[in-house]
Parts: sequence; structure tokens; C-alpha cells
Amino acid sequence: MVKTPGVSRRRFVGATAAAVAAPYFVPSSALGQGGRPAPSNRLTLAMIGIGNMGGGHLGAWLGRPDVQVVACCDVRQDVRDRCRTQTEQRYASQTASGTFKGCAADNDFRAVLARDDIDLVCIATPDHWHALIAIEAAKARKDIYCEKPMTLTIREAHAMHAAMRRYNRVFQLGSQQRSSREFRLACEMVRSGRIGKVTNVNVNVGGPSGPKEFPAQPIPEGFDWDLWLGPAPWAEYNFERSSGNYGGGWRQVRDYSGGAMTDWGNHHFDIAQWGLGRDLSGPVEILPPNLTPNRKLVMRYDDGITLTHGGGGNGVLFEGTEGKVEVNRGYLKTYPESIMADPIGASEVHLYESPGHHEDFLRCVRNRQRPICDVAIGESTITVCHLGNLAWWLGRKLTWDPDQKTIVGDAEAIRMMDRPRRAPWRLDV
Amino acid sequence: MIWRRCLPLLLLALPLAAQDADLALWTKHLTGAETAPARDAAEWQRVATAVATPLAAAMADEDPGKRQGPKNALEQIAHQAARPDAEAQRAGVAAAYASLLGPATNWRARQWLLQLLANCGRDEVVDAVAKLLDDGDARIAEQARLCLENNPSTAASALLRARLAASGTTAQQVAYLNGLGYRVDPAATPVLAKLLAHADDAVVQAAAAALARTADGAAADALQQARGTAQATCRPAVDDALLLAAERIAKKGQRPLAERIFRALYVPAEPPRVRLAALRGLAVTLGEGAIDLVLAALGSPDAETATVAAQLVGDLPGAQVSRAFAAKLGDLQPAAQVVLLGALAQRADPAAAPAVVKLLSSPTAEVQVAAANALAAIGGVEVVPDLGTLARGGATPVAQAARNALARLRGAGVDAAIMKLIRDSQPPLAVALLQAVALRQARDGAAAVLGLLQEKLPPAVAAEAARALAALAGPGDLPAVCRLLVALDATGAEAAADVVRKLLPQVATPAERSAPLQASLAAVAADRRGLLLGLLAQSGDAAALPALRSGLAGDADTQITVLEGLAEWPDAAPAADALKVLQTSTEARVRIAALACYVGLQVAHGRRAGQEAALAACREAQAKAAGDGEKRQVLRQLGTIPSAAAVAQIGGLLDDPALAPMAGETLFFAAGQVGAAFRDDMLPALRKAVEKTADADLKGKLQQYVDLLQGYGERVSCWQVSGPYGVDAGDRFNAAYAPEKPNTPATWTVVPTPQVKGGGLVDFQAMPLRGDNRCGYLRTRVFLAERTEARLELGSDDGAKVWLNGKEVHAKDVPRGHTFGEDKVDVLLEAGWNELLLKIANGGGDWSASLRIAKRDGSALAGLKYELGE
Repeated sequence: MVKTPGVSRRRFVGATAAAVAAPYFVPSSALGQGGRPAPSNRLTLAMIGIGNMGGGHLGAWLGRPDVQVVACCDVRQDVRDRCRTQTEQRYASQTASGTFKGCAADNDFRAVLARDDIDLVCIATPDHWHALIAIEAAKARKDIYCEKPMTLTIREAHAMHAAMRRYNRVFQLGSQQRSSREFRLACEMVRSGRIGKVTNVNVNVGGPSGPKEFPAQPIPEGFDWDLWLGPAPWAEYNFERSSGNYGGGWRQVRDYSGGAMTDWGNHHFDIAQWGLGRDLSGPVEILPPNLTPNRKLVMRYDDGITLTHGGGGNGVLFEGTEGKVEVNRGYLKTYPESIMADPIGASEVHLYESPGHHEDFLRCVRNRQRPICDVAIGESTITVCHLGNLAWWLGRKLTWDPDQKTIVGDAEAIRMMDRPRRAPWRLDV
Repeated sequence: MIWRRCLPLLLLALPLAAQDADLALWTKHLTGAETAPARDAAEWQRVATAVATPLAAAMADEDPGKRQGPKNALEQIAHQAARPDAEAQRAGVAAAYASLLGPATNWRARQWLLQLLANCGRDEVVDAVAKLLDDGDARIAEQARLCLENNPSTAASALLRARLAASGTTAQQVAYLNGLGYRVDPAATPVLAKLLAHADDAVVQAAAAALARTADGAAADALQQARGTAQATCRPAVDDALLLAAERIAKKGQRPLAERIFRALYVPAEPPRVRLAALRGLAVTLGEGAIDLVLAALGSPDAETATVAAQLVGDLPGAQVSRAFAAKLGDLQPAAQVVLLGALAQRADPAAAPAVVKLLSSPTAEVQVAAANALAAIGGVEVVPDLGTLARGGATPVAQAARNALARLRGAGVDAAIMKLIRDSQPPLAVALLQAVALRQARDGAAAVLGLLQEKLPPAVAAEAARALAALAGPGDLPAVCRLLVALDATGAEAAADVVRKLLPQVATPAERSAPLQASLAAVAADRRGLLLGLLAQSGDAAALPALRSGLAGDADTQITVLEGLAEWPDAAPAADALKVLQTSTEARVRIAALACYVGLQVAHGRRAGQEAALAACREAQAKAAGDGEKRQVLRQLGTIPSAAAVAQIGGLLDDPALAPMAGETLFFAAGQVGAAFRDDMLPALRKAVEKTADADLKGKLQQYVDLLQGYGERVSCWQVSGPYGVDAGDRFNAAYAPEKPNTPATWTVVPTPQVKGGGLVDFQAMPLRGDNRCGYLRTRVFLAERTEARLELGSDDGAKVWLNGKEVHAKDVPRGHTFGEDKVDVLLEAGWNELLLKIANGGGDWSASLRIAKRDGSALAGLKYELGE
């Protein structure tokens, strides 16, 4: 589906870094105007999907001297044109002439991936597109920053993991909480045993998406609605259906998203998995709210530790035999307070310390290491979220085999681990 | 979940079956709300048809709100039927749903039923769904294909194969190929193999993808053959398919076949994309048998190959892999040793440690560094002496790496081993080890170092131990460190005082801060009393004030120490004491310290009245100043008062030939602090200073401020800032934080001049609140003599909200770069002072704002005055 590129400049950059097994750096002789690396040493990046999150990422990439945004891809013409204008105006302000042209505006991501002069893609489309675009980008030898939630289905996550490894790509999932100090510290305390044996983790996020109905509306001019739908079942256009508004929009529609369970869940369940040291594993039993005494979704690991959805607490609450750790953005508290009185010592657990989510990604692009939210971690976390949704939707207990990566003993649930895709789209791995 | 409980009510509201009492009971059986009697599939089909028919009909409603309930109900019935061990119910419900798929049912219901049947239908639905493949409604035809695609029935497979054979268009062929690939149909392999030679690229690519998922010997053979015949445009897709097929074949346990495929692809002639994927596939297939293969790749002159190999060292499963790779370390060239050491560190397997330790004595420094780094991840207490030996080498990279490794070593007994080694070592090594101790942040590290400090130590070791203590001590250690202030010699006491200064802000209450200091004060010798009082002044404990006042009556050095500490007092309580010293002391340096303390306290806590008091004190001090030095210091204090009157007073001193140079310097200092905030007062003073100043360098710097302030034009430059708020929060733009909440205190600081850039652009990224994914607030007060219709011309990066006199007048949540005057907001300014509040959000990168207040037609609005909020 995508033309195979030849040798690119970026591949040379990455290969050079690996050859010397040292962090890549830009020699001062290569610096361009205003201290920016010369164009030949900047990593070129394409934005694919430029809504709420994509717009935020765009600002961050434009603010980096070592990255050059060269393409804005979105199925909405006004959005991609605005992205291009913003990009070119930004770069124009850094030139002596005050002018700059050099950012494409594309409707179809395949046109972006076919370009050999693009090193990186930032995928911030609705969820139902993440896997297809990321896998095609991997085949095209792009390194990938992909918004969370990683996928729409369990099998997509498995396929993305395999594709990134097969094509040796650097993949950073946008679960940026791992790059925040408070979450790392919370997980280090839990894994160092400061709250004793962990018994339960409360994860406070919203619930699943559903088969939401909307009234039909005319498709706005310049909006490629068929491409927006892509692999999802055909549906009538509706502004809210395609809106990225939090608390509504496409996130509440099952054809495109798993709802808050996967959207925020990909953040907070991720921290739960990190704190429990289950990055490449997962729970073995999932009980929906209608089957639990506290009417909450509960997942159970093979050692009896439970993961309680919406169980109370601010963000993520780790409960142990000797205390609790509660963490959210900009918030870290322990019960008792003395648990966090001392810094994490050398003999305790030290987790990957990211210099910032974007920075970590770019650093790994250069040294070909795996970033803090590598695809394997992303696969495990989003699988936890999907399992929660499946049990919730089906209203019955599910059994999961983390080693074989499959639901056990429920034919319908197994069939729901993936979804057939509207032609011509397919998961090409 | 509400709809689950409301389902019976919903059904009663449906027109056709509203009076059917059986319907409600059957619904409970179908949804699991009530235990159902035993029924065969036909009976389940009958009741399901009765219940589902009105639900499907209700989905014809144009009101989406009225469609939602029936849609949810149909889904719940399907899920309940498809639970394990309920085959009769599943078959009955699926057949019932299939019976509703005809054109008599509205299209929305048909599409939804097909989606549900995609997960719960089997043999019983194939015929009904097959009829829809040629439905006149393309939406239904495609959904029918998807329904069959996910149906495990062999009949569905046969049907899809037949439809593929009969497809008349490329689009149809691709659709059915995708379907066969999705469901993995080995019976389709011969057909798929033939289509690899199809003239249309899209068909070839879809056939290859389907064969990749089938992944048996025949599929692999077909793909291998196609590599030789496929068009160049299809070759990458065939390559990808073969790689995937080989991976799946390996997972099925057919390793020899997978190995053959991968070996055929891992040859120099293949493009890197294929060759390196084959290397990975081959290594994963061979497992522990891949060690020589990976080692050879590790030494490859092709850097990308070496990179993949290094990752494979970390990825390969198997308990013996670490040992096997480590055993080969000595056979490799230094460059390859470095790469392998890094990869072994990734494996984090202590089994490799003995081999790695040997490379600490490598003649190549890069290898030594890599070995030390690896030991940090895989070493334990047993490598402490080896790393210690290297760590004493000063500032060399090897010594630094060894110290870092000592700092990161895991395992019980490491801290104790290092402390023992410190006691047994001479200063160079002991110092290096103490540096490692500081970095280790061991929970009991402070206690260990405190114990060490009680011993007789060489001066260099004692000094390093004090530095380590500063890094390790926590608030709970304050009493012990305070005791060191008494017990240690003068040098040690100064070092301990540094630790106390670091700890005081971490201790929760003023009383807990002052108690251990007061205890030490009672025991300390007279010559060290000043040091203790200076620390006590930082406690902020009102109970300590009597002792501190006694210090203010002491010698000059003690007075100054105490005054410096009191300048940061949490309220204005010591201001009168400082003023008293200012007015009575005979020593200029004491008076200056007292003035600084007094001004600092008044400016921080005294609001406008405090600023006036501070200004008066400066005037008095200026009048009494004994010489130029003291006058200069007084002027400097004047420059810290954020008020127009202070600016005017400094400007007035420019007329005094003796003070003009100092006033110019002070004005330069003040311009940097509050020039933007008091632009109207500052500009004339700065122009005058430029005129009066002889110093060319100072003149130039003053002129730069003149240019900057003039360049603000009509845009507002008098701002206070508060933030950051909502760091990494999901909806920070709409969330309300303290500045926008009534009667909620917030911390405001004046925006210094350098952060108001040319044209009046307020640059948040130049302030301490800088960063991505957050928001901040700006506020100012605007005066107009009369009630005036005005226009706010706002620029912001990213979105902005504006409140005027507490009322929201503008909100634009948008990721964007800054453009002057991009948003225009018509407002009504009241006569007198108006309160303006701005909220500026930032996603990432630049973060800035600007504001001009103009007439409604955009022309200049005269008579505007600005001042800072209280």
C-alpha cells in the first residue's frame, strides 16, 4: 500500500549514532542561523491528524530547533491549511528574509508516507486510525510518535508491536505521564516495597464508549468524510461524531474509540502496570461492574493483586499492606506521609528517567534505543484497557492469558479482540 | 448502564408490542435479568424475534435519542446469548436477528444487526447474510461482507472464496481478499497464489497480505516464487508478506521452514528493510542458537546491522544467553566490546557480571567506561572494590563512570561495603566514594555520614562528608545536624550550617524548625552564637523572636547575620525591630542590612502602605547616609520598591551631581525590575539618566531600556503574573484555577521588563512558570476618567480567556502562534479603575500574549492609566 523508500538522510543519522554507540550530537559547525542546527541535521517530521492533541504537538515540534515540520496531513482542508500556515509563519520569523515556504498540506497519509525525505511522523488522528497508519509508517521506515490510546483493538496492538520490531522502528506512545517525575517516583516507591505488598490499585478514569447515535448532517466542504471513517463502519456525518471534544465527540463512539477507559485509561492503567512491574504482562481475570460486590470493574493478576476501575482516590491509588501511594498530574501523596520522606536510594528500584516525552523520543531516534513508552509497553497497557471494555460491554467475566495474548473460553469475546475493516483497509501484518 | 435497567420500560413504550405481557418476561430472559427456562434454539428464535422486531423497527426513528435505547437493547440481547455454554440461545437469537435483515427493516437496524452478528453469528446466519452481499444499499452490502469476514463458519469461508472468484471489479477482489486474509483460510491458498500474478497491483498486494496471515508451507512457497516474478511496485508488499509469514510459521513451531526463509532474506543483496527484518526473525527463531549470528552482526561494518544486533542481545530469550554473550566479550575488538557491554546492561542479568568486571582493566578507556556502566546495571556488592579502584582517578571519564556505577549499584550490603571502604581508604579514594554515597541517596545514608563526621577525618574527607550530608539529609535529620553545629570545629560547623539552611525549608512547622536550633543555641560557645542566630532567623518561628532580638542588640556581625535572616520572615513582625536598628545603629553596614531587611519585609507584606513606609525609610536613610558607599546601598534598596514614587525619587536624584552616577545605575536596575510596569514614570527618568550619565557603557544600557519601553507602543506592559496552573491537565483551558475563582488567594508577581518583549509581547517561556502543557494568568488595573466603549486587541499563543471586572468577556481555546491583535473584543470600560484578568494556555513550544486597549474603531484611546493589583 505504500511505496518502499530508498536510503534517507535520517537513516544515515541513526546509523551513525549506533556505530559509535554514543549519543548523537550536532557539531557546532553544522549550526544554522540563530543556533538552529542546519537543515541537513534537523529531523524532518510530518503531522498526521491535527486536532486537539495534534495542535498541541505541532506547537511543541515547532518550538524545537532540531526538528523541521515539513508536512501537515489532515482530512479537513481548513485544518491542514491552517497547520501549514502556522508552520510556515513560524519558520519565516526565523529567516533573514522573513519568508518561508516548505510545508506540504496533504489529505491522505499515504502521500506523506511515500515521501523519502520525512524521518518522523506524529500520529494524532482518532483512535481507529492509529494502528493502520503506524504500521504503514513503520514499513516506510519512519520513526513514530503516536498519540494514545495506542489502538482500537487488542489485535491491532499486537500487530503494531510486531511491526515496530520487524522494521526496527523507534516508537513512542503519547502516554507522557511516564515522563513526569511524580508518576515515576510513585512507581519507584511502590516497586521498592515502601507500601509493603501491594494488594490493590484503584484507577480513576471514566467508562467505555458505546454505540452512540447521532442525527445526520451535511458534510462540510473540504472534509473528506470517507477517509475520516476509513476502516470504521460507514456512518452519516455529524459534527459531534467527528469532534475531538473531550467528554463527547468521537471518543464516546465505539466504532472509533474505547472511550475514557482507553483514552484516560491508557494513562492511568499504564501507571498502574508500571508501578506493579507488569509492563509486559497483564491481569488474568476481568470482572465487570455487574459481577462485583462494589459494582466496579475489577481485574485480577495471577498473584491476586486487583486493579479496581474507579475505585476512589485521585488518579492512581496503590494500596499495600504498609501504606498507600496516590498519584495524579502534579499530585503525589503517601499514607503515611513518611513513605516519601526519603529519596529513592541506590538499593531501591530506579525506573527509566525520561528527559521529557518529546525529548526522549528524539534522543532514541538518534541513538536507536527504546523510549520510555515503547510499543511493547503500549501493547500491554492498551490491552488492559480493552479487556476492561470488553468485560464491561459483555457483562461477564473474561479470562486472559498474558503469555499467549488471548482471551480464553469465550468465543464472542475472542472475536471482539479485533474488528473487520471496511474495504480497502486491512491490517497489513 | 442505565439502559440495562430501563429495558423493560422501554419495551412497554414501544407501540406494537406494548400490551404483550409475555414480551417483558421474554426480554428479562433474553437479557439475563431473570433466569430463563430451558429452551431449544427454535424456541429462543421465536422469543427473540418477538422481542427484537419492535426494537429494530424503533431504529427507524429520525430522532437519534429514540434510536439509542433499542440499539443498546439489541446489543445486550446478543451479548447475553453469546456467553459461553449457551449455544441454543446464541443460535436462536442469531437466527432471529438474521430473519430481520431483509429490506423490510430500516437500514440503520440492518447495519446494526449485521455488526452484532459479526461477533455472535455462525452457520445459522450465513445464508441470510449472503443475500445482502448484493444489496442495492452499498452500506448494507459492505457490512454484510464484514459480518461474514468475522464468522468462523466454514460455510462463510466457502462463500467468500466463491465471491472472490466471481468478483467483477478490483475493489470487490480486494475486499474479499481482505476478508479471507482476516479470517485466515488455508483452503484459499491456491486461489490466492494465482492472484499473486494478477495485473492489478492492489490485487497482488491484498493476495500477498492474505497469504501472509495463512502462513503455511504452501503460502510461503507462493510468496517466495512471487518475489521473482512480481512487478517492482508490488515487490515490497510481497517481501513484507513473506517476512510476516515466516514469523507466523516460526510461532507455529515450524522452525526449520522459518529459518530457511529468513536465511534466504538475510543476504547482502536484499534491501536493508528486508535484510534486517530477516536478521531479527532469524535470531528470534534460533533463540539461544543465534548467539554466533548476532555476534557476527554486532561486528558488522554496517552500522544499522550492528544496531539491530545490539537490540537482539537485549531481546533474545533464554537463561544461558547472557552468559554465552559475556563469554565472547574477550574475543571481540574494543568497538564491538563497547556495543555488547551496552546490550548486556540492557539484559540486566547479573550472570554476565564476572566477565564484565574483567574489562574494567581493559587498556581501552572506552571499554572501561562501558564496563563500569554495565556493572551499574548488573553488578552487586562484590564489584565495589573493583569500581572503587577506578573511581579514585580524579576527573577522567573512567573514574567518573566508576563513581556513577558505585552510585547506582543495587543489592543488599552495597552501602555498608562502601562506608567500610571509605574508612579503610586514603583521601582520594575516600572522597570519590563519598561522592558516590551522596549520589546513592541511601535511606540510612545520612545517619552513616553523620556517624563518620563524628570521627577524626582528614580535612578533605570531612569536607566531602559534609557535602554528602547536605545531599542525603532529610528534615528528620535536622536535630542531629544542629548538634554538629556545636560539636564540630569551625570549618565543620560552617558546613553543617549549609546543611541546616538546606533542611529548614523542608521542615513542616516553624516550631519544628526552631526547636533544635534553640537547643543548640543554649549549648554553643559565644563565638558561634551569631551563626546559630542567623539560622534561627530563618525559622520563621515567632517564639524565636526574643532570642533574635537579643541578637540584634549584640555585636555588628551578629546584628547583620540576624537581619539578613529576618529579611525573609513570613510576616512583617520584625519590621519594627529592623527600623529601630536602622535608626539607632552607628555602623553603616549595620544600617544597610537593617534597611534591606525593613524594605524587604515591607515590600513583601505591607502592600501599598508598606511600600510607602519603605520609601520613607529610604529617604531618611539617604539623608543620614555617611558616605557614597552607604548612599549607593540605599539607592539600591530604593530600586527594589515596586512603585511609581520610588521611580520618581530615583529620577530626582539624577539632578544631584554627586549622586547622579549612582542614581543612573539604580535606575538601570529598577528598569529591569519594574520598568515595564511603571513605563510612564520610568521612561522620563530613563531619558534623563541617559542625558546625565557620563559612563558610555551605562548610557548605552539605559538607552536600550528606553528603546524597549518606547517600543511597547500602546500595548499594555504593566502586568502581574500567576502560575503555572493545570500542568499536564486534560482540560486546563476550561478548568478554573485560583486567579479566576472569587475570594481565592493566588500568588502574583510583577512581570519584569525583560519578559515583556518588543511590541509588548509577554513571554511566559522566559519566566519561572515556563513549560509545556500548562496555563498562566496576567492581570492589570486600567483607569479611565469616563465610562468608555473600548476594544481589546488580544494576541495569544495558545488559547486565551479574558475577564473584565470579574466578568468573562472572551474565550478562545485554540492551538496557535502569537499574532498581535488577532482577537478583537468589544468591551465597556467603567469610569475609574477596571480589573483585567487574562488566562493564557500553552500546549507546547512558544507561550506568549499581548494586549492593546483601543477605541471601537481601532484608533488610540487617550487617558489610559495602568497600575498593579494589590
